Amino acid sequence: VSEPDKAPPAYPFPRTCPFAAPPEYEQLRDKEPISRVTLQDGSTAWLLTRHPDIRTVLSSAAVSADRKQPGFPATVSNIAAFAQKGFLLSMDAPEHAMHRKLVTNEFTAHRIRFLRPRIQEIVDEHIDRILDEPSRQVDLVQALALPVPSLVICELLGVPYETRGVFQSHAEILLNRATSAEQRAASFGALRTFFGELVTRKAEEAGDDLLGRLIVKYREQGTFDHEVMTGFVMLLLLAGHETSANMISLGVAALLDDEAQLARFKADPGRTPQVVEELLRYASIVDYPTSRVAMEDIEVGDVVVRAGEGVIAPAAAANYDGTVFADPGRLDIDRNPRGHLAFGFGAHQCLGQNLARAELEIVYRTLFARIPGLRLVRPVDELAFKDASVYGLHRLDVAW
Amino acid sequence: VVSAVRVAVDRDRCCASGQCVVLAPDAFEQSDDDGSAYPVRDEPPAVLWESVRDAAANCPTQAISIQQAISTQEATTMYATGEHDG
Repeated sequence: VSEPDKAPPAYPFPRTCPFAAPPEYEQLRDKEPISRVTLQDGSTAWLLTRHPDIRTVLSSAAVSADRKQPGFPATVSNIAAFAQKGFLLSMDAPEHAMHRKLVTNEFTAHRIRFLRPRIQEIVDEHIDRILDEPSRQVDLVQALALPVPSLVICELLGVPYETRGVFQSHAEILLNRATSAEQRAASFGALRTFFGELVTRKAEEAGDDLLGRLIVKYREQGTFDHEVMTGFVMLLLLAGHETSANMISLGVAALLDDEAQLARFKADPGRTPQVVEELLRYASIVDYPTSRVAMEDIEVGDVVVRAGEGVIAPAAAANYDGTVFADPGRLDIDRNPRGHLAFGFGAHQCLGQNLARAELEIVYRTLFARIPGLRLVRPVDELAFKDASVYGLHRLDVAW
Repeated sequence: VVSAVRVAVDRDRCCASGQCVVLAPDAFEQSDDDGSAYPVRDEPPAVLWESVRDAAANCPTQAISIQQAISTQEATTMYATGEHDG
């Protein structure tokens, strides 16, 4: 048996643009669109780089999202730790739909419309505080990007906002690629204790918030399980703040970095929803977490992925497929980026996507309307980008 | 020539991500019980066909199906299953 002369390349690939997808995706898409990569633990997995192949795998019933399954791509250390009890993202059918259907009514487009006035109020309060800053300079991550979605999701779930220090700091550790297996397990443990106590309190007196309503639903079904509920809450809170926070800071940085696009946006705020979609595509902040392991042999393109093999179906690779999005490396708020996979694809597609859209629309529109002179303090190539499962910025200094 | 479009959502397949309501806000709504999508009208007006096709093509669980009534020259009408991605 002849071995290839080189080991498959190390994955994940670093971003260099710094907003755009890693350039390796495009090179592979042209040469070998379904290829092998080497992961941090030395194992290998399939890497897909074409939009249709990525859709096929993410919507296939023959793959598992269970991070504990042998062969699940170990894109970070201790990937199995993400198979927390109650974590929707790691469940398969039919269990997954059973739990997911208990909260989907909380995130309908209709319900989110009712949250908009409160989101607007929260955004305005934070921008008031920014404008009160005598130095006319702030770190936008701490002043706006992180607090707004944190406060919104806390109010929706019924989690005291004063406790944000706990979940924000552990989210940072859990998602950082440099985090060791032990640190990751310890952070999950700390969060389980924290949210476990919250669930205990909520179970004693279920309030009129998402957690209260979810507990009531589980009880009515006779399926209330403290451990499942704890994991469920953890995931909603982690996914509900860290993602939007990073999209806010990256989106603002990308717009401030592109004078022409920003001018077009400011001149026509009515196009905000389309700007949001293009920024979601352009930043594709959740990339390699959309991985799966094959439970049966499946055909993808001209390759047969064997049962037990891992498949990485990266959202950023799909969103930079030039056959679907022309000149994908260009931020273009005039394009219609429908079909982007920034929220994933298949039964696991982001259930909070319309909440995220509302937050991003309100933040981008209000920020540039109220602080039209906003500018970057240093150029984007000097910014501190995260090497994390959710891409983003550690810090974004802006002035006006 | 397409003379009518009939749209249906398989609520068991629907994962209630609410994407169709964004792509075709006048054609789909979500149930208050479990968020699953349903068509506002089974036979939406022609002005909505493009957005309905968009929503169907991008549905993450391929839960939206479209049938198209084709008018032939003899003015007979039949239903044909429309483009169904995936």
